[in-house]
Amino acid sequence: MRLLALVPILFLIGCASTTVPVTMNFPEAPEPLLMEPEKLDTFPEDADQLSDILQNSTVNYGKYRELQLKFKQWQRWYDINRKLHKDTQEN
Amino acid sequence: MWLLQLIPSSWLEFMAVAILVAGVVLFFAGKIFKHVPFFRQYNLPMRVIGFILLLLGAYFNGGLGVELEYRERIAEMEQRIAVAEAKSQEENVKIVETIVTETKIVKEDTAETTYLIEQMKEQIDKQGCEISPQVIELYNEGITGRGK
Repeated sequence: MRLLALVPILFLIGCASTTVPVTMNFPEAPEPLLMEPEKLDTFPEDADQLSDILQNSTVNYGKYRELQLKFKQWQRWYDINRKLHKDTQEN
Repeated sequence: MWLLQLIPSSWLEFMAVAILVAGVVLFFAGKIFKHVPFFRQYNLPMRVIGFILLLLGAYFNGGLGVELEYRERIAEMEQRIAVAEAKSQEENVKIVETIVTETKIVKEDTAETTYLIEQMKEQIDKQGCEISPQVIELYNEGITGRGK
């Protein structure tokens, strides 16, 4: 009869042997955010006028603003997905 | 224990209780049959098998409670993840829309400014400010970096 003491012990061991196999897949980032950034245009060596340098700077500033926009959208994507991931983990 | 996930909950519940009940019945039947002349010879195997089933039944019943709780939790987690993935996709679409719209604005801005510069070219260059090769070199280093 003393061996019957094993019954509650095994009951408790059974309670402690399960794991949850559910994980969230890593989210996909939008395609435009994964594109290679454009390189800035260098100033042509044959150009020597003030208007040429203005043209060149304007084009490069435009490229910078496009990158700035994408950078902000990366931050937005990260914040959203971090929050969504956190929501799935909370009880 | 992961194999248990392939078996439906109702079957598991039935099996766990059935094994436990069979164990209890066999174990105590073995005890009783010890005093019955014809069945006396079977009492030891009955008690041994009954005891083993009793232990297995206790183990399965303990694990079953947790297993069912985890199944519920897994279903809840899967639902949450599905909602999160759908929201993430929705947000991706919004992000792409923002990028497309605002990139178009930036490109139009740049085109307008370069057009204006083109229009005012003579006026700008009339100042007589000539860009020397050294200035071009320094300017380009600012763009590409000095490679250090």
